[in-house]
Amino acid sequence: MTQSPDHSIRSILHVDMDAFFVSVEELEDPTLVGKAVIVGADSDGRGVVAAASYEARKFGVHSAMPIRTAKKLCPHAIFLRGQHRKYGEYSQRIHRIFEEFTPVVEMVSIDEAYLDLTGCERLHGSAFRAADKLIRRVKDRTGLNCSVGVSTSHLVSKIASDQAKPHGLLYVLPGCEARFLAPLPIRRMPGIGKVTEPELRSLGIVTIGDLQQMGQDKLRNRFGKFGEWLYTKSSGLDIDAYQYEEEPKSISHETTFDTDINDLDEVERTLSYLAQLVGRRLRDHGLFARTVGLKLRFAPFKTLTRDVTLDEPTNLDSVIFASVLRLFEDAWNGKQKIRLVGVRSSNLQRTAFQRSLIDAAQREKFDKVLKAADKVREKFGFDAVQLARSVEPDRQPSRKKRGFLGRED
Amino acid sequence: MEFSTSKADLLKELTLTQGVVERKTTIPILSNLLFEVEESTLRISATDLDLGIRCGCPAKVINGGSGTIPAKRLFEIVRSLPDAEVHFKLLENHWVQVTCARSSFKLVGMARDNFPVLPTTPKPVAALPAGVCSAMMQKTIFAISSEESRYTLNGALLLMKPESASMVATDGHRLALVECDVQVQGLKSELRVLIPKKAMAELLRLLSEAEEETPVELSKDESHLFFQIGSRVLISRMLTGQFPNYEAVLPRENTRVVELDKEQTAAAVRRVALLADERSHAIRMQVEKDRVEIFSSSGEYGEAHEVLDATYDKESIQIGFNYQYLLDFMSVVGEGGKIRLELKDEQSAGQLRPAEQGAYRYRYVVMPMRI
Repeated sequence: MTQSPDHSIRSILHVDMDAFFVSVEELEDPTLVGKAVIVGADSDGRGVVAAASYEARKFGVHSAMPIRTAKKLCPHAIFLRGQHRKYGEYSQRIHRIFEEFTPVVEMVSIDEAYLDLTGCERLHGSAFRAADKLIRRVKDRTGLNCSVGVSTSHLVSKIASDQAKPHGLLYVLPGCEARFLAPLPIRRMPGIGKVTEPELRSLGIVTIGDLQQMGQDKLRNRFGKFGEWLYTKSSGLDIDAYQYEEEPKSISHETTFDTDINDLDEVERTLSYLAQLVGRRLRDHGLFARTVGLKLRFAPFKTLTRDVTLDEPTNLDSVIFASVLRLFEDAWNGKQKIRLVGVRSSNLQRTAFQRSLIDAAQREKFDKVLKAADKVREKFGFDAVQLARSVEPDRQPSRKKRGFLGRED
Repeated sequence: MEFSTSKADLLKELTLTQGVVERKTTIPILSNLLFEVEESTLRISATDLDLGIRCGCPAKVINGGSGTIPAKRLFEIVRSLPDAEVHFKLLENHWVQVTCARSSFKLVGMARDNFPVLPTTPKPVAALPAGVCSAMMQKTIFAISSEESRYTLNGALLLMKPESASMVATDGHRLALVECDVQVQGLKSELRVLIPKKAMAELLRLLSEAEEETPVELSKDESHLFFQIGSRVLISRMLTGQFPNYEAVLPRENTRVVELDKEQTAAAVRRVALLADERSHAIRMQVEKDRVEIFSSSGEYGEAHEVLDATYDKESIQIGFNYQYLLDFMSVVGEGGKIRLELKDEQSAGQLRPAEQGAYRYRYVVMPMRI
C-alpha cells in the first residue's frame, strides 16, 4: 500500500439536529425557550408527538408517543401544531452548510445527515476539527444546536451522535469502534427492534459486546444472513450500513381526522390522498410494492390492519387506492366512527418482476399520466394535481386549490 | 358380487382412475373405487367430489352385485400380478377377496351405500374428435393458473361453433389460444364451457387411450360437465364465474416481427436460463437487425449471454421475459420449424406463434417482465 493511511481511513460524520422542530419554534418565538414544548398536534389530544423539548423530555415525553399520553405526563407543556414549511426551510439552510464541507451529503431525514469527509483532511484538518467547525457554523448561521458523531462507519457515527446529545461531539478513534460499541445495550443498534431484541435477550445477549463475543459463526447459524449482518455491525466494521438502512422496507402515510368520522366520502377522499402520497414516494425511490395495506383506528382506539398482495407490484396511485378501498369496504361496517386511516405499501422491490396481462393497457395509460402529474407537482407542489376522488365535490379542498385529473376507475 | 376379468384389461382401467381418487381425503370412502357387476361387465367408478370417472371392462360374472375397494392398494396389487385372470369375491363385512394364479389377497372394503352417487350422463350437446380435443388441450393446459384464489382462471375456456372450435387459457401473465376448423357434431349454435385444469389433465389421460377420430361427446347439467369417450365418462364439476375477456388482451399492433429457429431458440433460452435470477426467472432479449441476444444474470451465480440468428429489420428493442413462459410455448408448439416473436414495445405483451400455421392456429401472448 503506497497510499498514506489518512486516505484509506474513512471519516463519516453523522449530524443530528437537537430537538429540531422545537428549536425552530424557539427561534421563531423566544418566549418558548426553557419551557416544556411539544410539537405534534393541537392540544385537544389527537395525533402523535413529532418533537419535544428537553424540558418536556424530562417528564418522559418522547417522539411518536400519542399526544394524549404526553398530555398526561406533562400537562403544563405548550402544545404546538408545527409549521412544516418552516422546518423544511431550516433543513435546506443546514443542508447548504453541510455542502460547504463535502459534496457527499446524504440527508436521511429533515434533521439528520451523513457527511463523508474521507480525503478532506487538507481542506478541514482532521475529521474531529471539521466536526467542531461544523457545529459552530450551524449555530452561528441558524442559531440551532446539533450533535455530531465521527467515526469510520455510518453505524458507529450514528450511535456516537446519539451518545453525544445534546449539543455534543463524540469522536470514535479508528480501531476503537468495537470497544466503543461493546458496553451499549443492543437496542441502540439500528436494525434491532422489538422483534429481534427479545430474541437476542433470550439468548443472554444484552449488550453489543455480547454480540461480538458470540462470534460470526454462531450468529450465522442462528439468524442466517441477518446474523452475519449483526456480527459485522456489532464490530463497527460495517462500511455499507448505509445501503442497508436506506432501502425502505415499507412506505406508509396515515392521518388522524380532526374529529372522529363515519362519512364514507370523507374516508375515501383521505384514502385517495394518502394513496397518492405513498405512490409518489414509491416512484421517487424507484420502488414497486407487492403488498398494499390499510390501517384503521376506530374511535375507542381499536386498531386494525389489513393487507392484500397484488398480482403485479405497483407504484400507481390508482392501483394502491383501489386495493386499499376494497380492504376498507371489507373492514368497515359503515357505522363505527373512525379516528385514523393509513395506507401502507410493503414487500418493496426494484428488481425484475412479471407484468400482468389483465388490464395492462389501463395501467400503461395511468403510468404515463402519473409521470406527467409528477412533473407538474415538482413545479407547483404535490396538491397541484390530484385524483378526483381526493377532492371534495362541492367545495374547494381545504389545503390549497387543487386541480382535477379525472376519475381513475 | 363374484366375477373374474383379465389382468391387462383391469389394469388399464385402474390406471385411469388413479388421478381421480383423492390421496389424502378426509372422507375415507373417496379413497375407494366402486365396483358394480352385471351381465358381462365390470363398471368402475371413482370420485373426489370435484371430478368423477366411470369406466369398466368385460368380465365373467358369476354373481352380480357391488362393493368398494381401496383404490391405491388394489392398483398396486393388480399391477404386480402375473398376466392371468383375476378373480374377485365379496365376503362378509364388505371384505373383498382377490385371487390370481397362486396369489390371494383379502382387502378391507366399505359399505357401497356410502359411496357418492355420480350424476347420470345427459344427452350429448356436441362432439369433437379425440385428436382435436387432445391437441387443443395440450397447447393450452400449461397456461392455466394454479392459484386457487383466481378460480375463474383455474380452467380453460372451450368455445365451440358448428364449424370451428377454440380453446384459451391464461394465468394472468400469459395466454394460450388455439383455434381450428372442425365439424362439431350436434352443435347448432355457440357453446362455451370452462373446463377445470384437473379435469383436463385426466381427460388427456383418457384421450391417450383413444383413436384420433373417436368422438368425445360433451354434455352438461346445471353443475357438471360430462365427457364421454367410448364407454368411459369423465364428470367434472363446472367452474362458475366469468372467464376474463381474452379478446381484449390479444395484441393488435405488434409490428416488430422477429423470426427465429425454434429448436435453436429453445436451446439458447434453456442455456441462458441456467444463470437467470432464481426467483424472477427473468431473461433479457436484445433484438437487433437479424440478430437476437439473450442475457441473464443472477446476483449469486453470475451472467450468461448468447447470440441467435434471426430475421428482423425494424428498430432495435430490448425486452424482458420469464424464461419459463417462453420454454412452455416452445415445448408444445411442435417439432422443428420457425417461430415468430411479435413485439410492440418493451412493456406491452409480446406474441409468439409458429411461422407456419397448420391445422391449428396457435398464438401465445406473454406479458414481459419489468427489468
